[in-house]
Amino acid sequence: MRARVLLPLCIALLAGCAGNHIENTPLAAGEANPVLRPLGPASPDRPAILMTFSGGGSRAAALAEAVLREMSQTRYAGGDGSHVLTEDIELISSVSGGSVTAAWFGLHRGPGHWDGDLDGLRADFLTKDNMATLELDAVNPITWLGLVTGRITRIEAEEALFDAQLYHRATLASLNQPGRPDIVLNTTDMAGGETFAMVPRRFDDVCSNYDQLPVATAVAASAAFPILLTPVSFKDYSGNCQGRVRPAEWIKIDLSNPYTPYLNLAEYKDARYSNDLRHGPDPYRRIEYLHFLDGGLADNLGTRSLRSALIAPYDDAQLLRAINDGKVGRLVVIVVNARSDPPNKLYQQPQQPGLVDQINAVTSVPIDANTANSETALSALLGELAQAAAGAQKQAKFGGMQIYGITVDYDQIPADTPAHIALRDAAKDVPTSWSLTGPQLQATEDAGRFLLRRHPCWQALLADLDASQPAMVGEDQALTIPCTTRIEIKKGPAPSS
Amino acid sequence: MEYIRVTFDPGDIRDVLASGDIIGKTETELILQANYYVVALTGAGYTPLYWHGLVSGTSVDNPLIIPFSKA
Repeated sequence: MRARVLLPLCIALLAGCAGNHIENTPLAAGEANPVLRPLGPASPDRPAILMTFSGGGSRAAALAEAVLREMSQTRYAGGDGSHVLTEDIELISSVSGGSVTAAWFGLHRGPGHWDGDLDGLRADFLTKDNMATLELDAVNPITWLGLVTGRITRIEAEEALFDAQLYHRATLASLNQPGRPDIVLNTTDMAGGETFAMVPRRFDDVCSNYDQLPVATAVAASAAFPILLTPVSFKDYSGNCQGRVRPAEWIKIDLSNPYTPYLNLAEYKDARYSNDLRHGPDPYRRIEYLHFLDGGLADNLGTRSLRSALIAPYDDAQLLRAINDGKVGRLVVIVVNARSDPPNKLYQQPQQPGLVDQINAVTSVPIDANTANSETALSALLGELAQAAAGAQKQAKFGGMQIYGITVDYDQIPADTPAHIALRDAAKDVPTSWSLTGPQLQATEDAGRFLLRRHPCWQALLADLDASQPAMVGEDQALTIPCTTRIEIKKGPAPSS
Repeated sequence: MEYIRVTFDPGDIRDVLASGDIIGKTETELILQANYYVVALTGAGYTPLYWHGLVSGTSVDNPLIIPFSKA
């Protein structure tokens, strides 16, 4: 295993001079980036499901796959017929390893394939020794020569793997179709530390064509783990933009009044970043090129983009409008967090850690640290939405909207029985890698199923939908903990005025 | 979370624009984040042309009322 880490690291150090491959294309004259996936459930009695998939290599990809599979086997009767819950997934915001599964699901979910052909993902990627494929490529002398001379970059090996095994030259145009879930692949702008979501409005900001970017490139940008992989690079074409980019009045308003930095600092920073990317007036940063690393550096849960989709009026998702129009009766948010916590030998080691251990720490610790903040911010927003829906006057169309906030997190596996302890230890021991052994894949999938089924808000959702799912061998008794984001609406007499 | 209600003509329901983007319709409570907004309606034939100001400190029981009328 150590050799598997050291070989790419040696190549990384040897090939210190990276290339200058620009991966994006400009918008041609008159060209636009239309959004072809309006969000919102087909009817208010059907849930609108938003998800985030965290980073964590194939472990994260497999955990997301397990949760999706469980949802695809959960059936309920809506006013317009029988459905499975994967039909109701409106948006997935993903990072790194989670992006592998999100993009696959986005390309494959459709009528007749409501599970997103998860068996195909399992066969083509999760059960393969992808690290061996990458290493075989890396020990090829021609590849070495290319890496050392900068003719090819280290990220291209990963892009090639994704393209050959998963996405087969599909571009983002294949995801940007009516009936598809909105897949938001998140990267980190390594110069500014900003989350750069691969969505049409961001491509407008850099005057670039969204539809033409290969899915494999977008996923590789989301999963460009620092140091081992080179960044994915974009050019900002705003300087001489010939395309038709959408007007963004909100940017001008947010940046020209003194209140926004105090009332809504997150939106102010977003406006400032968009203004800089658009080469607008009084830039904070002068941006000509963008270099993307793993999305987990800025937000390893992908919750920033989900929060924007939920509440920002200018977001492509337009979900706030759907909520205010009363089109969302049940809002389900599922956060899939594949953060593991494998045993760390440093706790048993008296010697000061060496270079490899330090590199490992500086690339992993910040990713783990920002996860808690992201979760807290999203929980607070869901709580506010639930309060708003519960207290709304009868004229408000969002009144009575039910909120189900579900987190799938290894730390929720209890240590109360030998079976649970064994599951927890096996799941948390799976390393971050593009290869999983059979037992590692099994442990990850078992943990995903277990955690989803056990969550109080999942159980509340199933009860409210009168949904059914296949029985699981050795399944635990349901927990008697209430779903904290779901507030019971007390029906009282109508106001007299 | 903040609450506004944009009034116009109950017989002529319009889309409400907050700083350029549609967030809902007239004559009903709308939720949005605290901020400074420029609020307008879609279509023509209303006055004033826009409302601008802070949306902050509202509550579900006490939304900010933003009135428009026929021009």
